[in-house]
Amino acid sequence: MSLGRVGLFIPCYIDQVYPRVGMATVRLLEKLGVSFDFPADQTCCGQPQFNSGCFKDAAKLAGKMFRVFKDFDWVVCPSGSCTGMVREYFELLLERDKDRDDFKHLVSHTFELCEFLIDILKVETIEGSFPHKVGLHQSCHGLRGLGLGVPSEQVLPGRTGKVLRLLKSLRGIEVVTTGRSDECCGFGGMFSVFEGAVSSFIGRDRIRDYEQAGAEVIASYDVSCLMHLDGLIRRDKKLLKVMHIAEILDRAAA
Amino acid sequence: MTDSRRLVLNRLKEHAIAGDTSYPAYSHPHTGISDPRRSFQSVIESVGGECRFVADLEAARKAVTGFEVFAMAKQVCSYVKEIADGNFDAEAKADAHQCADVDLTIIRGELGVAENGAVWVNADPLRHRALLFLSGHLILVIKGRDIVPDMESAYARIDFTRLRSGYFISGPSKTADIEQCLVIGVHGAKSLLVLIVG
Amino acid sequence: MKSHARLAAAFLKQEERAHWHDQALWYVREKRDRMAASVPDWEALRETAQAIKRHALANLPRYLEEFERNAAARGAIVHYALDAAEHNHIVLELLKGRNARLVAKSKSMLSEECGLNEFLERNGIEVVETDLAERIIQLAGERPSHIVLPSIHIRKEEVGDIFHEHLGTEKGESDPTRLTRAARTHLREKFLAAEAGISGVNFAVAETGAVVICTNEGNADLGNSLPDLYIAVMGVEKVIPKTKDLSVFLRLLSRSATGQPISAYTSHLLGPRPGQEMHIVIVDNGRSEILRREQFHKAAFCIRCGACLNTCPVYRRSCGHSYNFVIPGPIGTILAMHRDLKKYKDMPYASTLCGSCTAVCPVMIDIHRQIVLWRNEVVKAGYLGRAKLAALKTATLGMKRTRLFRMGGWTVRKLLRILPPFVLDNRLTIWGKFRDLPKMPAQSFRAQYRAYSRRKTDPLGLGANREGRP
Repeated sequence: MSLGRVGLFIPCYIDQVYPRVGMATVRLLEKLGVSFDFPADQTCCGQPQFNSGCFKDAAKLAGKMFRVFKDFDWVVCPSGSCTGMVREYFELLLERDKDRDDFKHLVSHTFELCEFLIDILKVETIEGSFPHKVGLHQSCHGLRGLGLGVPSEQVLPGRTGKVLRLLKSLRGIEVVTTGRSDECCGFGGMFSVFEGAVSSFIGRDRIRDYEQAGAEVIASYDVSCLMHLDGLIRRDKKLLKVMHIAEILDRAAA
Repeated sequence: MTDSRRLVLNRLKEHAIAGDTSYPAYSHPHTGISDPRRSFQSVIESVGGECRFVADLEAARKAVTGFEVFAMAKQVCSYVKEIADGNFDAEAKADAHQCADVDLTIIRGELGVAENGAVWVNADPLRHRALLFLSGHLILVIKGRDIVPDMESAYARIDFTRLRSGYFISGPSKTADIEQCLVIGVHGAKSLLVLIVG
Repeated sequence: MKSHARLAAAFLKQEERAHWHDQALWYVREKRDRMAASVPDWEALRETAQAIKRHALANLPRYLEEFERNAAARGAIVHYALDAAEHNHIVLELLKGRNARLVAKSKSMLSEECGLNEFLERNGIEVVETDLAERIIQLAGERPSHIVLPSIHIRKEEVGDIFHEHLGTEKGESDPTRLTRAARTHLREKFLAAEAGISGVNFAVAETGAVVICTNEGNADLGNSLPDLYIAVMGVEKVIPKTKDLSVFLRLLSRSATGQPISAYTSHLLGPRPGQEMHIVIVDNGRSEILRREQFHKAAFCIRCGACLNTCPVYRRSCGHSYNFVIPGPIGTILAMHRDLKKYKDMPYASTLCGSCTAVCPVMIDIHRQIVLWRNEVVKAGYLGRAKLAALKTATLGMKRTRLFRMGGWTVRKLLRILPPFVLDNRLTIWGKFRDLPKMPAQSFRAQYRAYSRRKTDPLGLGANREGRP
């Protein structure tokens, strides 16, 4: 299938702290027959600055990202929040560019990994096995901003979440549900540092829910949430593991 | 004071609401109600009220006579003489405060709303609208054919041109203010019975 | 004034209480979900509600004048107040005019905003809050912690203590039913003795001049029908065009607020009862300014349901008293910022930006988006702390140039791998205070990917060996 040029957008913290998620994404895309480029000049979409309210600084980074990716037909990113940054807020930050065709193209053609698989590659199932109990953490930006799942607040009968569908297609997997199906993990970017007490209290509540549901692994399409939860899991010496969806799909599709 | 009026209204002339601000044409009938009477009953019961279907006013009279609240009530004010005479004439009282000890008030409602168990009571016929809230207990009487599915259809039937006060009453007075524990009978009626006639 | 972060941290020290508070509010959110799911047109109703608000607020002068005309034709006397001070003054003069010394008051967030009770008390008037939760906190000398459930933070044993002290209930009594009965008796006396009633307004209908008030207790109705003087106070944004519009808002309001299909009493008042004077005070107090701000005007759509509070993971775990504004939580934040950007600058940071508030809002206010936009206003005004600003600017510098980014990342990772765990995962570092740091990898993704690609195109390593960059 000819997709045109696909650019791989690897969030800054995946690049520096969780490279294994980036590598899993690479292998998964290759297994699915997607050829792509990783433009090495990329750094960051500006979300940490934007999130803190420093729009001017965020705009500098967003502008750089636009320049790096503007000639691609598709941009794929293993992060709901970074993808959300592009699709929901780039227009606000880069007002000067917002009417350009290449800008509008970038904004409408930047996809999170799972939605790229389902909506663009038309891949609804992954052939492979992952015989574990997995708790799906539906990270907020991807869930409510990109529509990666069905938010519990909304009345949308008959819909199932995209990420859930992909996961459930794996042989042997058991996706466990918790009472609060999509409560925030409490990370919130700078919030985790500015309001550490509330952030970790929320995170511990989430972890307890997954434990009680019998999860062995907490999975998400956003490793920032997982980094926060994992930090608490290890501080409390709990046995849960965290894995990014890309890692699960890549391992299963071996 | 008129200066403030002019100032406030002038300030409000400017706004930053962009895009289409025309009045929306809409219609949102509640499509999930197949049996309005059953819906009405189940909602009223779920909010602590009681509901009884009776064939006619004579049957209503019998039902009320057998009603424990009626039997125990010392002061009964009835606006539906076919059901009960009552022994308290609120219309003869000059002051609403004199109705403070009424135990039970029986009054007609104009319609019932199936989606939320509410009864529309036009209080204009009452000399003292406060009676509806002072009364220890309430019995509301509506006709079965006056149960409408939803609030949209209810409001379409209510005439506000001469109305002075009207109330949707759905259930007895209640609160969950103390640790979310539901307590029935706070300031208003401690119980509500809706009689659906015909 | 302590920041939200400090107050919340203090609240969370009592873990059991914090869990209890969180669970109590989550329960209300769940009830709301069940109610919403039972209305097939729920999402369409929200769209219509928003559209009605857009239209009404874009034409407020016209609708206010229509409302005033119709209300006056029924015998109500309408006043306008520019701000809180004028609102308080008008109410006081009306009470003094009738020599009213005892007021039966029903819930009004507007009156909280204006500090009405304190003002009246200073002027020798006894104000009795008649909504049970409001009475509890009034007796306790506290502020409401929630706009719909003002005493949600108070446990039944504590209510028992408050009632024992002020109402003479038995010491140790904590049964909600018995406590409520005691309040009923106590407040009945006040209703019957009150010389004036004051209440807020849920909706003011322009088409008819009707004032619509929703309660579960019936307290507003006793307050507006017994005394010979009744004062209804409302913000300018409460006016809606037509009676029909009530159906949209009422179907959304109680379901969103408390998970009920409708409140026990929905009262429609068109003018005073015979022998009564009815006044309506219409207040601006900054609302006209909200409407003039393009990115923030939707905050004026709010119908005060409180659903955003119930759904907010931060509000549930910090309690309304951790917010310094009269209205806490998500909607409180975006309203507070209009009032005083500097005073309330910590409020927009008390959010993870999860977006749940926006998803539950019956009038579709883009709350979480406004919150992040307000953060930008805080930064532009220079109110973000110097340390935080410096850290972020450094990060930006490090990310603008790819080379700097690679080298900076390499350095930090190397450092964090070399430093012993006790230095990093200890309570003194801002991350390490609460959780462990992730294990730093030796190589970044880009370095690994470079090696990986090279292996694929040149598996035997025969090609030109470029110096491996981090």
